[in-house]
Amino acid sequence: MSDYLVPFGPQHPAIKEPISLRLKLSGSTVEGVDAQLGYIHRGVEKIFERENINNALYLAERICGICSYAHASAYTRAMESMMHIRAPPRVQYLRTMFAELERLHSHLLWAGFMCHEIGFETLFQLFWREREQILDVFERYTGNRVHHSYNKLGTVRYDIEDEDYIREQVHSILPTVKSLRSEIKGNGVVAARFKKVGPVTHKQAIEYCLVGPPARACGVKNDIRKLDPYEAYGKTKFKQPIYKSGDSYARTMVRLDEIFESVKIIDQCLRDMPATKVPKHSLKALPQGEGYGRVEAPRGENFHYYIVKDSKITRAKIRPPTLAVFPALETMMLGAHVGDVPVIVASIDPCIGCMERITVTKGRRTETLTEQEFRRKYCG
Amino acid sequence: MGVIGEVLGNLLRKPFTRLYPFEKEDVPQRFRGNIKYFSDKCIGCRLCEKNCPANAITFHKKGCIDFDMGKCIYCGMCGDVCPTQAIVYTNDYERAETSKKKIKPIQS
Ligand code: SF4
Ligand code: SF4
Repeated sequence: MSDYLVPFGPQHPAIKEPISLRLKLSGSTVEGVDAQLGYIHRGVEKIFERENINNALYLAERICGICSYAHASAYTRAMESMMHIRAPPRVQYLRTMFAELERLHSHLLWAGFMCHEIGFETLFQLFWREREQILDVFERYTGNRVHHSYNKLGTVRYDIEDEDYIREQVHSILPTVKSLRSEIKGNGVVAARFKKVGPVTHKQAIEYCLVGPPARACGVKNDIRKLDPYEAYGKTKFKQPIYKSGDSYARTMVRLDEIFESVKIIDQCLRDMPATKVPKHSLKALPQGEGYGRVEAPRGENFHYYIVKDSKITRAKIRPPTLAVFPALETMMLGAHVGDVPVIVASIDPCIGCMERITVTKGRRTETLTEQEFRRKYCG
Repeated sequence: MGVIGEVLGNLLRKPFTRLYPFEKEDVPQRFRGNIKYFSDKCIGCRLCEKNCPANAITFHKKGCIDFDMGKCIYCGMCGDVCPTQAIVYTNDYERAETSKKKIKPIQS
């Protein structure tokens, strides 16, 4: 029997995302979690319907503010597979490089956020300062810090001119990130707050179909860049960091290690990029069919599926990484101390805006349904 | 040790932040800021209106186009499709205004 029912969110000082959990507590131990979604539902899949495929790219990008390039990549991959076009090699390398730059900025942002959760504000500021160097690269080459609008169907918007600038900026963050990583590794407070907090076993990870860093933290090798290489990932060499313990500490380490792997990939892209021209973009008219694309976003596998008729999208299905990781949140929290809940939520790097689905409000009850359940229950 | 070294090192560095309204940031050349519309270059093809993902453009007649900058998402599509480069992006990023009517593109 639980003693208390404590609301956590949707507005909570620790988590900026509007995540709403009802925690069943016995003393200060979490005994049950009830997630209530729908606070930031935007109906993106519905807005996609009837959008022209050339314009929907910008909508895809705006699904998420942090991994916006991952959504644009998944969209272009889906559309290019449908139209049977392949981008030229230079474009593939450019896309790979920008995807990795995005992973760098997302992981640095997240690392700062994770330190903020345990009250380590100095580390938070130091991580975010390094992130600015990466955002400067984005601003200079794509024209914007966050929503880059860099991908186009079959090509990219701009070429890069001076490669040394990117190399310099990316390498300038490494000494600081290295020292911050060793700080996290050796600090007793960080260890006490992260180690054995929110553990998931290897078996549970497979049962829940976990994706991305949370899965790699329990030893599941599921990096889409390795399993289904896209763009130029097949031609680059990198390791996927694997940890065994499956707790918040392992998830932190996986992401921090990925920063160094991303830098390796960026170096290889800059070295191997053929010096050809980037083709000019052209509007694509009247394609038909269906296509899917999956990419490894900073948070895990990102899957997009579209049906297109006369160059208008008639059906879109998007499975962002948080949607796949969210069900495992309850397992992570059971038996945890209530004070660790913000750390556990932050450790999966949640993006609630990406994953919100349908919530039907009827009287005072709310429920979250899949599309089939919704159709069965409310559409006769 | 890492953080202590970092903190001591920062004693000698200059501040990372800027005193914003007094000290402006230089933005790169490709930055997509406020839109500039050259009405004399426009040939009235309506491609920009058709391709704007945010439906922010209303075409009245050749050389007379309304941009609703409150809706614009600065995606760069209109500048890309315009055959005569009648739409370009400036480096003006100070877009906060007290009224919706005041957020306007630069017309020439
Ligand atoms: S930048 Fe994009 S949203 Fe803004 S007016 Fe041009 S096409 Fe429309
Ligand atoms: S695309 Fe360019 S030329 Fe055509 S109507 Fe728009 S501004 Fe004028």
